[in-house]
Amino acid sequence: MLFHSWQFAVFGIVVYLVYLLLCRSRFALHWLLAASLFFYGWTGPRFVLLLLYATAANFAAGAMIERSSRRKLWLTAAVIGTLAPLAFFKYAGFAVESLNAALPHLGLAAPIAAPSVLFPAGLSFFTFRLLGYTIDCYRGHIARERSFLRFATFAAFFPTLLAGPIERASHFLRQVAARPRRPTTSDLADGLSLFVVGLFKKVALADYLSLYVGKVYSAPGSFDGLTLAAATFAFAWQIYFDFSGYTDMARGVARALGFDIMLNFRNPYLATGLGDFWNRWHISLSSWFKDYLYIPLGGNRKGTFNTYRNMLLTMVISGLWHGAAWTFVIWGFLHAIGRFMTRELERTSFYQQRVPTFAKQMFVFAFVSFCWIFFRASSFSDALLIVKRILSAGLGDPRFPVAMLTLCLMIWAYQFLVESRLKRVAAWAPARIAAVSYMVMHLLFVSGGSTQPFVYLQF
Amino acid sequence: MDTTESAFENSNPIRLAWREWALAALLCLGALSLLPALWPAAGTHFSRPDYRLPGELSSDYWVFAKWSEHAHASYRAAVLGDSVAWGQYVRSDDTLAHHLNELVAKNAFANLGVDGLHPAAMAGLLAYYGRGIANQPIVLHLNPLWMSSAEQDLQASGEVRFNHPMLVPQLFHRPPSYRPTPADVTSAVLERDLPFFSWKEHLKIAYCEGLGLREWSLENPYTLVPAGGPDSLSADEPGSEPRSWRERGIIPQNLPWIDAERSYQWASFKEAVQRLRARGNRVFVVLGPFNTHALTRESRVRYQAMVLAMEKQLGQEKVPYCAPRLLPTDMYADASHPLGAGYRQIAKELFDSPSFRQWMEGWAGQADRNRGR
Repeated sequence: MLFHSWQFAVFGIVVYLVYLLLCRSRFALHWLLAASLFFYGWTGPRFVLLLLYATAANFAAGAMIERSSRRKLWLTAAVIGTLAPLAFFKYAGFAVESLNAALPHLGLAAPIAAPSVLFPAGLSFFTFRLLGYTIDCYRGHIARERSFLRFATFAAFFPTLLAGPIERASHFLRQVAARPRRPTTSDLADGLSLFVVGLFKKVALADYLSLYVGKVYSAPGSFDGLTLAAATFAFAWQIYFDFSGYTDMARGVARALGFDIMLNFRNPYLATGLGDFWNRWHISLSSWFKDYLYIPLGGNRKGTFNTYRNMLLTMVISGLWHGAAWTFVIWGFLHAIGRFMTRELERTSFYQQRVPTFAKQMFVFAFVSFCWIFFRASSFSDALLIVKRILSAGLGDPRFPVAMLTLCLMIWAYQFLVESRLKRVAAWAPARIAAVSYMVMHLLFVSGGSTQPFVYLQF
Repeated sequence: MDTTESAFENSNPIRLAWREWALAALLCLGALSLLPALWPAAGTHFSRPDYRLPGELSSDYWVFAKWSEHAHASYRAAVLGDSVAWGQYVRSDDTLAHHLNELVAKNAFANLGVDGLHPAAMAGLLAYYGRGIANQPIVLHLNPLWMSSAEQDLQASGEVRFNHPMLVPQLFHRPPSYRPTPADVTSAVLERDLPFFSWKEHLKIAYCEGLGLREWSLENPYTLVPAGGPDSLSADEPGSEPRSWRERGIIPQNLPWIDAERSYQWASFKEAVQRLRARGNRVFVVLGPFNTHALTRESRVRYQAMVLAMEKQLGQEKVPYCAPRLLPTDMYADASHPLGAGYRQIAKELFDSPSFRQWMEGWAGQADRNRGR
């Protein structure tokens, strides 16, 4: 059930109205949980069992970690038990394909049949959300949750279930520890604000850009270098609008229900370094990897070599989290290289003092866009072809719509504005009202066309 | 962890308080109502002699509504129907409306024909977009082809793709072979009941070559504002090459025909007649003439039985009508469309028929007095 579908409109209104009636009663969480399971079951009823299994396993693990003296054993069991479905559904096919590719080199030619399974939407997201809870319990950062109802609501909370943000247990469970508070009209106004902005990003911008990107990336060999570069620029914005639009809508729905969900994007294309980029892009995932992988590996505490090794491992695993393909591994690897480069550059006084901030931002944007080629391309050979053609295949007419370029540049300029000293202009009430009115009218103009699923739902 | 305040500030979605939302809603409602109302329907095209809606605008119901308002103001009567009334195989100055105008020696009949307008769609078009012709005398043409089979009659058991699905009933009394998704129903209801959406569709059809704005901008990457519009489209030329059905190699068909008693399209046609009469329109029905040269003997017998039943029902309901005689075979371009000579003959037959003259006498003098002519 996509946020920008009529099904969700009906679902959302019913859930919200019943929740308003029940929120002061002891059935509020029952209702939220039932709604969340229904929402998840809409994509595939049998996957609800998978969600319930992961929820029960981590709930039990939290309890055992608190009670048992063999805490590490329970943690290990929980990590393996939670990651196993992810490994099977997401990586089994990739592993088998990679093995089949390697077997002939070892003199073995018998191919292994790859399992053909449908990937459960949101699996990567709720797996990490639940693992975060269990690891926090093990570390003693949070007390284990004693109510299965509250815990299951945290695990299955429908606004964040399919594509995050990967909410932390410490933040969310606090909000449902007591009976949830009744949503106010201010919550609804805020939620609506977030939802409209998210809807605009998704329907008016991401889906629009995807028309150009899809056309070019589906047959990269047919286009010249400038067109491929334009499509890569367009994809950089498409994926940002798509994913941050989803996040805004998720946060908006949660906000309308009275819940505060963590920030996931903070103008990432204004980053001045790759480290800065990852503090602004998919914040809930990058902070998860930082807290549960990078720091446990040693972080930056054990010398330059180990720091870069840890960064490399973290980024490559982050790439694999996004998708089971070598293109994602390369994407993660490239980001690691980018982080090394900008980290070293940032240590020099020349880079710190002489290079204008705008130049740094443009460099980071160009580098991140280059990496997106590997993220978006259908295969590794396609990605290489695109890079090669961008560098050598000449300057044809890209036929990149002026309207598309104008929209992207306007949003970029707006982001520069809100991070500048002139941000009060953007906060001026008539400007905000005019902007929202424009977005609503724009959505009404483009409504009724084909809609695309969210890119991050496949992860 | 971010508080809500800082989250808003940092992620910069534009946050509105309740009162600001109310103001934004007012602005949007104002734009929704004013834009379609203030948008010019046309520059000069409605005023062209023998004007008919260009084929490209067949699904542009907003422009149909504007054209029918213009027709009401500038013509004394109108001819409404599908591509037979529109004149698929003839120039705009060779249609039924044109030949009727020649016979009355006045510019009295407007051509309100719409390509593909089967009776179920006609009933919807009149219900939602035809208020502009209230009280105007209407020649309503029925093309019997729409009753020639279960598919054409929208009664086939499987889903059938047909013209103008937005105009047929969406919730109750749907055509049996219409299986819309909830999104289709929502779009149709919005487009019919909120002028903004039909106007949006007008912009898409008339200015963006039928594409959505986004798709259009991909086709025209260096243009920000679409040009064109209704004035740039012409319907002077025939919609298809004017050749007789025999030259096209059409062979006689054994069409099954649907009994008038159980025909969905015929019931819809009668509904259209009732709606017009309820709005004060004087209606004159023209039945066919279908090209029965292009039917097998058995099919012709079934067709004639169906037309007889229709005539009987029109008579019972006191609807003036005429079923023109079969035209010579070379005057047909296909099973139902006459060529120019055929239209001339039909107009003459209508003009000579007592029922048509009586119908005209009923409104011509009245209309002249009303308009001070």
